[in-house]
Amino acid sequence: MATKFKGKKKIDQKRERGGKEPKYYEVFARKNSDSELSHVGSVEAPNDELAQVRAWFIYDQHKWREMCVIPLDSIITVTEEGKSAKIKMG
Amino acid sequence: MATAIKDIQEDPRELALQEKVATGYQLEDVEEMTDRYRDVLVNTIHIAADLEVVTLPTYSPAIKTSPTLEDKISIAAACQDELGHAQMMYRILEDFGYDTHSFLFDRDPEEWRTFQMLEFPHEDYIESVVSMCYGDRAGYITTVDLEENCSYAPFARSLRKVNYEETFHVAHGERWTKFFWNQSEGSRKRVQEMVDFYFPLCAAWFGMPDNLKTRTDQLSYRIRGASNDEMRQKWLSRIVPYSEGVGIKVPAHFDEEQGKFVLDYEAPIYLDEEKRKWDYDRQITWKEQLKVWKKGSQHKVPSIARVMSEEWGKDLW
Ligand SMILES: [Fe+2]
Ligand SMILES: [Fe+2]
Repeated sequence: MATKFKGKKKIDQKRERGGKEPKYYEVFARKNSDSELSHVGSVEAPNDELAQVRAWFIYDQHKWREMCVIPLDSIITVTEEGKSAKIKMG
Repeated sequence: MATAIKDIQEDPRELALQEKVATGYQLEDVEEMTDRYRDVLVNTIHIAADLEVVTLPTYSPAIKTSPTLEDKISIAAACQDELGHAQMMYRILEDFGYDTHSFLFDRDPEEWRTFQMLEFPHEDYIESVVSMCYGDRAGYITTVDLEENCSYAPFARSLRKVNYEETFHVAHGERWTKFFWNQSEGSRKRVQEMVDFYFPLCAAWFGMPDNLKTRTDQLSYRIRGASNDEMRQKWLSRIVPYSEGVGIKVPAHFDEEQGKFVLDYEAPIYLDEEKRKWDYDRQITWKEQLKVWKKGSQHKVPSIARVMSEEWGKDLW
């Protein structure tokens, strides 16, 4: 039985995800200048700006010294040819 | 139906994968999975993700009533953590063809998979800290088990951050529960009232007793490592000494003869949802309990509908 309720959020596909297909970014960060820049996770975002914001707010477990996001499309896998990078933390 | 499950159990590919993960092998790729493995894994992550999101409407009244700005901030921070956990889980689910947006906003609230422990909106800040102390501790035990044992490596790794943050929620809950226990007679009474309410909810978080459980796929595919009773025991071994140390009464104790913690009541028991009172002497059947869990409390649908319509704004502060 479907529940009816008012004010259901309307999703603006274009605005919220930049189109029909989701776009993914991998997130890299380092704690301080001595530590390695390493993969901390992955976010979905319609554009680079929102990807930056989402990465910063989702992966906020440390006060990162440096953080960057890389579009998944731009990652060329060497060991796992033809496959995309996977969510790998820490 | 029975034959279908039997077929799966006897499928050599399924059995081979079960043997492989039993030796500690971890999968990195969706392509390595069998159909059954995939179903059990996706179902596990799906429920875990839903359970992160439904914490938000439970916290929202406490943001309004929390005594100081610091308390408001710490509750809001916990909400942000929980939504972050959900985002990561949904991100993993997208690799299995899930669409997070429609998953969050187009699903019928009744279809959401919630647990009774996370269905009651917190009426005040004391309720929030007690629920963090006892409930987040219960949740933490399940997510730590997944991090340590889950044979799908990307999920196990993603939980490192989740568990790191959960320790803050639990610590926050323990510190403030103890504070309110000692603050005044009134606050002590409220803490005890909330523990009386949350204890059976949290003990039930781990599900049915092992001897009554018929589906053990999560264990045979090593999605999880510990059984329901093992995790419940772990929870009791933290929560009972903590409570006794503070002075809070809990319906469980360490049984010297059995060498383990035991509940003082015979689960499942009857809950008066309206009054938020358990009748510790009134046992119900497991069939009745499962029905209650499946239906969800009166708060379930309105709370989820609120998340879906993003009705927060003016209510929050
Ligand atoms: Fe969480
Ligand atoms: Fe939490």
